[in-house]
Amino acid sequence: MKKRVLTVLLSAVMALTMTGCGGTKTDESGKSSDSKENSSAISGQSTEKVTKGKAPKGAKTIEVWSEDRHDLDYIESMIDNYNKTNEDGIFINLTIISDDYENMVKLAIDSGTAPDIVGANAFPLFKFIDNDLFVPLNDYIDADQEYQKVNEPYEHSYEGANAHDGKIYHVYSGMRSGVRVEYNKDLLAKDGYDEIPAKLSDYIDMAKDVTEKGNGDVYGIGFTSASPFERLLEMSAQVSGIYYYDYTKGKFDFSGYKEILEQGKRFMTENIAYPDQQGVDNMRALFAQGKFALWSNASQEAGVFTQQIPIDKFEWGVAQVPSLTGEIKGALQTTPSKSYAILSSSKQKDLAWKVISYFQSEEFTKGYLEKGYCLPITDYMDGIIDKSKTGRLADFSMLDYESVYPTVPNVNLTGDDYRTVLWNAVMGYVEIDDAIKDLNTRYNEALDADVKAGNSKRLVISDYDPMHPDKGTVSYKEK
Amino acid sequence: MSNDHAVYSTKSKIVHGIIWILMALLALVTIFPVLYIVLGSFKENAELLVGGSNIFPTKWVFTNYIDAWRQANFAVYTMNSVFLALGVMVLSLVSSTMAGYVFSRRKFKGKELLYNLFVMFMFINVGSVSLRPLFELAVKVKMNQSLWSVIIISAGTGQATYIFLCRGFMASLPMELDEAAKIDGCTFFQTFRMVIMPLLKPAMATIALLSFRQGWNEYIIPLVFTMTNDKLRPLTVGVNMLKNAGDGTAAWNIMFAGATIAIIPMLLIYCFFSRYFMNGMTAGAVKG
Amino acid sequence: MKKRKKFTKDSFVSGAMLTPALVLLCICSIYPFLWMFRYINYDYNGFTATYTGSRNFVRMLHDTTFWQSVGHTFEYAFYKIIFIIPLSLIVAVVLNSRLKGRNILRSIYFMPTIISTAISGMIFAFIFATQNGILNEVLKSMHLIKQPIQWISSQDHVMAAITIMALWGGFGNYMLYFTTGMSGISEDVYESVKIDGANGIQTFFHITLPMLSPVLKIILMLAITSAFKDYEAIMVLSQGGPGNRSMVMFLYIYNLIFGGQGTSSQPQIGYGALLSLVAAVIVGAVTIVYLRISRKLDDVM
Repeated sequence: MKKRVLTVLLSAVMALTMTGCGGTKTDESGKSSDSKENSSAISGQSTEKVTKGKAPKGAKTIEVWSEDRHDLDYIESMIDNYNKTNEDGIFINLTIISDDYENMVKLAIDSGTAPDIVGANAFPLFKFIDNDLFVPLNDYIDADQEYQKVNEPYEHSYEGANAHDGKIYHVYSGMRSGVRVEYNKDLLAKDGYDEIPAKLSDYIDMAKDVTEKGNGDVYGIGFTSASPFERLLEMSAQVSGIYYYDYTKGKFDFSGYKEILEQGKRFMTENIAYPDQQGVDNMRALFAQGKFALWSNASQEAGVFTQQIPIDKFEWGVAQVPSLTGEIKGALQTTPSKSYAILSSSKQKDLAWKVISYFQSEEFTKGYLEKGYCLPITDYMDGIIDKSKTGRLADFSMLDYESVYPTVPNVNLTGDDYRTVLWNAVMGYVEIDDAIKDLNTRYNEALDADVKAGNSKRLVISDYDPMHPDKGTVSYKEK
Repeated sequence: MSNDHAVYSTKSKIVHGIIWILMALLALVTIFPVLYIVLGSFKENAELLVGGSNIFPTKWVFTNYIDAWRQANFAVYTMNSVFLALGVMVLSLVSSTMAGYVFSRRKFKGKELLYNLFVMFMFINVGSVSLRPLFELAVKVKMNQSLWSVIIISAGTGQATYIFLCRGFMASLPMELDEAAKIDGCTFFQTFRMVIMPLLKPAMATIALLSFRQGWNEYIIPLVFTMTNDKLRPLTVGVNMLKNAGDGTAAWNIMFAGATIAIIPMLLIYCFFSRYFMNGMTAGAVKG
Repeated sequence: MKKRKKFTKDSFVSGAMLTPALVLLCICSIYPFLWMFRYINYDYNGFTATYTGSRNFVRMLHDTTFWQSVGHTFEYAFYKIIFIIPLSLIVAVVLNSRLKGRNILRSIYFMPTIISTAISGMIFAFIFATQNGILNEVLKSMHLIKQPIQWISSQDHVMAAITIMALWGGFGNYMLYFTTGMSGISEDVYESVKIDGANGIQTFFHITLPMLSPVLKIILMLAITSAFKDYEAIMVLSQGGPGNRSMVMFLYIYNLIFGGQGTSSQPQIGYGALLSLVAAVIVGAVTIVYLRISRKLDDVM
């Protein structure tokens, strides 16, 4: 009996090995007719050492680390090209660290095995610059007119995100849009809706109507368990002028969320939302199956719903998130991306800059943006790319009220963070007033303690304008 | 052994039958999720993510396996996993059997204290916070790009359980055996090798199996120690790499294919070691 | 004279035999612990460490979420052990007999322990889903429930879901331990008992159980400590929710040390180190209590 099991298993293993070695790569069936370079994240992922071949003798290797894997194909081919044709003898070696990226970089720095360049857009800036880990790029930028034209670094510097005290530490060359509503046109049309209301309460009513008419098969709206609060309600609050940090006073203030929470609660108390809150990918798949009509996320969904989880059963549209009153009273947070920083431990800083200026050159960026990986961040690039190639990403293009909020001070918080607590209030696990009071207490206590200990500085913007949060005068208080 | 030919009463046949049905039911419930994974690995990503109760794919997709094997470099990863798991197994066996023997057979000052120390550290270190200092230490001795470090750390963090098991198992082996061996002229170590170890086979098989599995399933430690070195990565790290950070969907279908591939060697190892658990192997040991 | 010489040589040998384990202990357990211990009085986010005196200690005392998670850990451990030990024991005993196909059954029961938690977490999310969830559909078709049960998204049932997943993923392990333990019991014992006319149940309670008792004690202790340490499956299935209902202490600590997943909080290694210490003390206390009780029971028997 045991022997039989063994033989069966062994033959299975052998069969698998043979399929692996001999078979030709079959095409992904039914996928879009995009060229191979634009293949989905599912099929085209190659190994981590993406550069082909070893560095030629005498070449100066520049180590680059990045967290992004979805755009690997394009970046890899461009790097390969550069390695073959550049005149400075540079060989770029890219490594993708997709898990625990920040900690890995820190470990590498501590142990002296750090790379030269890191993809820095997701890093908390102060952690790095307080320890002098990044090299300020101002001198390099000022000497490179072409770079300034393409990337507009001074216009797109955000306090506490990539720049501080006049020094720029990394420059963004792409952007993810703010959150949008993605909706199932067919499902909504069936119930008589052809556009997304601008007022939150109408939005909720619409979702409720769809659920009621859906009779248990179809729901109005779905939420994910992965940070659900920031995908809809927090953004509705932002465009209604509500934010969790009071920049004028320099302290946390969650009281503005009360009405948003009361309205948001209806999703649960009136049984409007899809009854499961699963992972993001699962919810995306359910949306693509037409299980619920409304979803909300940002411009990544363009790529997701066209290539990775393609929607072919219905028409889907993109709309702006609703606000409390229907009017826009505050900016919508966007996420700049694709930026590279030079680590101060690098021994080849000048060469590293050459590599960065290649990554963010017009040719590279144009090709990248036209593949639809993200939105352009500069007006210049926006003007020269061929929008017909970017597919649905065009639906997510920048709104005039989108901006970047200055980085809120980091605190050592005891207990749950605000997104968790506020969502708990929406779900009804805690009373709204208690939640707000609890957050105000804990966050401000932590902020006071951290400022006192010297861990954080209190950010104050006296002339703060919710519609243009990045344009105020920044000051840091030590008390 | 002669039970097969005994005469069963109807009552015992019925009882027998009921027990068998219950066991089969349990097996069904146990294997259902595993089946879901195996069948799910043949689905397209979008279909897999929806979940639901149709475990059979509407469209069978075999490219997941090809993609997993080739594109994600699975041949190399599997070899690394095997190396890692074997290393952990051997190291764990060596250290825990000897330590268990000493704890069970020797008296010395502070024995219980030392033993309790082992037990205590079983639950003190949380996940990979202990990795920071270890990584820095490895860098100092230039071992930070090697799977040997992973083997050492994995065996080190898991050994307490195995020492425990060894000591406990040996407690049930009577001291008379040791006495007899001593009279025959065996040293402490020889007693261990000639007399105790053969009797320890079931426990050793268990430890071998469990430590192999532990090495096979290690994730965070090899993640850190193979940060930049793709050729050293084991399967767990390789499969998890297929998750997208950044703006995309994770390739769960390929991960499922990878997980299914990863089951097979473990099952083989299990089959290999399972004969040591069967009763009857140690019969006669006490008498003889 | 001879005896003394042998004594020293034996001591040397036994010391040598203990060395690998000791070396591993020092490198892999003690050294990291000491490293972490020094951060107890600091705020350390992986990059900068700031001395904060006893602030972490004060925080711990007021940290309601943490102490709730301690309570949940006890709850989880209790339910897990109450079900898993009898289940594994009975299965091991049954499989020890002449049951048909027992080898295949044993392999099947062992399989869940091989699967990684990330993957099995997703499967159980499918199983426990409210809408289209497999478990709900099965229960509905057996007419046991009318409305789908919210296994993971409601505070009432999430602990049950977690326990079920823990049982599935763990009982193969304990079945293995028990089987190994029972292999030490000679066949002859069973033979003679059968000749005396004892049936299955009597054999179990009067022969198997007592002979297993030293092994049982150890297995129980392993089960307790590992139940207190379990967090990965919970992390994948419910992330400690909903509303922290299933947050266990090691998951809370993990979030502190790595920065919560997808939240805006940063790693707090210093505070996490302190809580690790507290958690270790708690588990240690439980273990000591258990050992005392089991020793007393030994004396009684």
